[in-house]
Amino acid sequence: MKEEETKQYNFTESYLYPIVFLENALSSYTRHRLHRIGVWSLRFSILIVSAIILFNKFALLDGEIALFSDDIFPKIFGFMFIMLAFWIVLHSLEAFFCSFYYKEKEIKQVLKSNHLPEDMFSFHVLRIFSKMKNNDITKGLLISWEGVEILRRSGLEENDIITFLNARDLVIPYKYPEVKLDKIFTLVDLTSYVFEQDSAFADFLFKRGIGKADLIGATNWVVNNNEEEKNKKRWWTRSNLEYVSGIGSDWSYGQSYTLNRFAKEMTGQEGGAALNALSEVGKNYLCILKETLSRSRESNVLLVGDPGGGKMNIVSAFARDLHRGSVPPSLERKRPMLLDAEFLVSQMRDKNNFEMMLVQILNDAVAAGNIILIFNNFSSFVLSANSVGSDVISLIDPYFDSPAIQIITLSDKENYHRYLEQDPRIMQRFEPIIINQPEDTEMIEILESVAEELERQSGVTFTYGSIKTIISSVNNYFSDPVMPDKAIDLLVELPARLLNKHKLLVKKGDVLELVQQKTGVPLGEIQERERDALIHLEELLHERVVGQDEAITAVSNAMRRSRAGVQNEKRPIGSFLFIGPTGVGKTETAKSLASVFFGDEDAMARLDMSEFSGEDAMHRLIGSFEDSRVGILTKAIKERPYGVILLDEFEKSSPEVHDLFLQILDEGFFSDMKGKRVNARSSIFVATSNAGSDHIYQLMKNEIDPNDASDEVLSRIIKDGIFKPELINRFDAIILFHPLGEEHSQKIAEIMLNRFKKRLRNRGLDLEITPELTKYVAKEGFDSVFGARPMSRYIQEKVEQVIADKLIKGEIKEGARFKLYPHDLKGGPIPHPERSSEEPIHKVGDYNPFPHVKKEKES
Amino acid sequence: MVFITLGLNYFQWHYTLAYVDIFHIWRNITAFLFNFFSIPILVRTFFAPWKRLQAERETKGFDLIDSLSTGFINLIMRIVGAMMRTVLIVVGLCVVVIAIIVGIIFFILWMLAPIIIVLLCVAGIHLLFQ
Repeated sequence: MKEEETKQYNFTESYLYPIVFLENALSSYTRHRLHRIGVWSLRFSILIVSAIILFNKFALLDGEIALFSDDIFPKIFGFMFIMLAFWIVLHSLEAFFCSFYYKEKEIKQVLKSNHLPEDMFSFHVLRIFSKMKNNDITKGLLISWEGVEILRRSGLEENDIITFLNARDLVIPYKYPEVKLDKIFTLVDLTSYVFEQDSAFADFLFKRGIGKADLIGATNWVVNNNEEEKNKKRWWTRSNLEYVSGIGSDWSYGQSYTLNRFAKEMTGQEGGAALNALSEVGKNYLCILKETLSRSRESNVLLVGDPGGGKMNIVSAFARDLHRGSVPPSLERKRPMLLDAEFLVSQMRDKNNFEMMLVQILNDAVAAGNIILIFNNFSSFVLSANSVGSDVISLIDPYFDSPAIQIITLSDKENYHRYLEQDPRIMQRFEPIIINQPEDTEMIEILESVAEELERQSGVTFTYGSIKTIISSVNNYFSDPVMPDKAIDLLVELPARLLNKHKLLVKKGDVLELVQQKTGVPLGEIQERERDALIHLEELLHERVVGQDEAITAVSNAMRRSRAGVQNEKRPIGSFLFIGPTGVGKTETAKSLASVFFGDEDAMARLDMSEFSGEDAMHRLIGSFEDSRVGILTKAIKERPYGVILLDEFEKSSPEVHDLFLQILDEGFFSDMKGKRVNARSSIFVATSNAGSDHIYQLMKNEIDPNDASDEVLSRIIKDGIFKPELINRFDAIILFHPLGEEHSQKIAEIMLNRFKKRLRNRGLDLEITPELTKYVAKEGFDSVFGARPMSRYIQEKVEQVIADKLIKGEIKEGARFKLYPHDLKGGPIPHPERSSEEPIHKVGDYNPFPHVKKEKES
Repeated sequence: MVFITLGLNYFQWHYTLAYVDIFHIWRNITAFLFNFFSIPILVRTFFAPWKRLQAERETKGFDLIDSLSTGFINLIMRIVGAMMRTVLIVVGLCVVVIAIIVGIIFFILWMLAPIIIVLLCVAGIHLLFQ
């Protein structure tokens, strides 16, 4: 494309062009250096002149040197005059630059009615265009400091950019972007445009795991950061001058000596790095807080939010605004005092002392006239006061209505619902503000602010990808993801770790590594050993599970999807419904999954769902609010967030429990009895059920593979009302386990005997397993209805018994290798496996694990 | 050519928009100083007792001596308050007046800045090479 065709704009026409030209000719950096040289030259000249005058005055110089000083004086003054002129020129140019640069947006608003398309480009875009060569917009962007900064925030380093630019053999120029006359074309628009127009650039980023959203996110961060810097440098604006608090404004208010003993004034600096971390929504809460407190009556606030959910940040920001004076007039000059309630209770040992001191503190605050008293953990304070026999709320109640004192109390949601909400006095006097957890977009804003603070302190740089990964990791891999605290904790921990490794760029992988260390969930790059395990997952699972090829394949595929990161992150790693008769390997599959995938058979929590069929099922599962009991499911997930949750005999649990799992399987979390979110996104749910077993038997009898008729089995289960169709649809896979045949029994016997042999070895006995023994155990221990389940009991009760007898008789000695033959086991009656009362014996064909269903039908 | 345009742009700004900016900054600083010395509040609360320090009557019912002594102490507190406020208001007003004068001087210097630069350069070169 020829140059004329791409030239749509005359950038010299832009009202910003003079400062772009100035910046290109004499960059800000150079101007500041020159300014410094000018200032130092002036200082130096003044110093010399002063020294000469002093020496002359005190006649310390002899005649010759004094003469010399007369000669040099005018020259120094000449130099000073020139440097002063130089200094004024630099200042004037700087003022010229700032006048446009800092007020870019305001001027664009002024120009709105009368402007050219060229005026709509932001300063940075215009600068990139003005320095660009051969209409290569991509290169222009990438070699600018803005482009380098954006790509660094995206996780790329300068070398990557150079490599990309050098590797481009054919550069296809594209047109300048079209601008709208009502919207400024910013860097964000430019990067988005370049990404869309230059497919080679998009591919380059894509190969490094950077999508368009990541690039735009990183650009937004750079732009916002730059805007903040600009704002900070404008010390002369009204809002920045407000930062300095006045003197003498509190002279008409009293001192609060008693209060000062137990409370400290909040300055707004308490949040540290997290101080600026108020998202837009956080700022809304701050506005509501100010509005409520500036009301004329009952202007007390009760802030309710999860611990770590940012309640104190809002109060801290409020304190900061009070000091700056950026509050409604009725709140000006108020002093936010944070009461150390625990200290107060601990100091006053008995009721009388405590009550007298509290009343004294409150009177003191009223006398001062400008106190906003803040109670952190108000409910705990009420409870601990209760422990000394004092009813705090009755004591404070008369003060709630006083215009001379205002109160802010903070409480977590649990205690708010449990105690405070129940008290009509509290609800009447306080305006509750419920603080909800910030959304992901707000979290990005918050974390970026905190990251900038950390960057200033440590020198490391966070990439946009690392920020996004922190948020998704907290949401997906932590069992109680309280935002923003949990995410800020991770963020704060990263710089020191990186510095130890002599790295300065925090990338996605670094976050995943930290999360992996904290949660035990393997994240990040797939390691060689794990890759092997994933590739050969079927074989590994088959080491313990005999047959059931379809089931094993389905489970293995799901696990590979999860580990490759292509599954939906907002759901559990995997969820399976294993349907089939008893003793066919359902539980064994779950166990071997835990063992192979999580490295430990104990990484499986087994819940007998038949226990959750009564009215208290939900309370027992997720916990009870009344008696503060933690639920079994809550506990299992919190103790081991990364593991298998086996829901045995799932069909026997109550419909409410089924509904709970509808949510868990769909969204990957549930709320416990305290209303706290419990994350189940790192767990694998395996529900087993005997439902439909009779039908599976029938199919097997008619020589039909149950997996070929799975729809038929499922529709029978739904028709019988055992599971709702929506619940069945929530599982990643429904896997039918077919009854085991005689052909599988020998393999099972071999596995079980080997396991038994291992156990014996620990006791110093070396059993040699012969094919005859395996064959015999397979024949005797296998049951056509109960599958392989009786076999372990057979080994336990028969084989173990024979070995014990032989040990006592002295036929086997410890440490000796020995063999068992079928005839050893033949002696005496072979114990038939006991059948549990819940599992009556049925012959193939008439087996029905749900007699109640049939009964209901019959009735 | 670009340099000439830049120069023209600069001079246009120097005698138009720059004045608007200087005026805004000057206004902000004056307002800041006015608030920094809390002049409006101090005037409003001129006769309020110093830091709310007030004596309370020791006896209940009519007691002339007690009432008079309490009233006297409270009057003293108000006088102390008024004196302290007067000092701060006077200091504050002086600073504000200085800021206004400095602002006016700066306006004039800004107007003359191009001439001052030329004069400084001429004088500097003359002194250097005389």
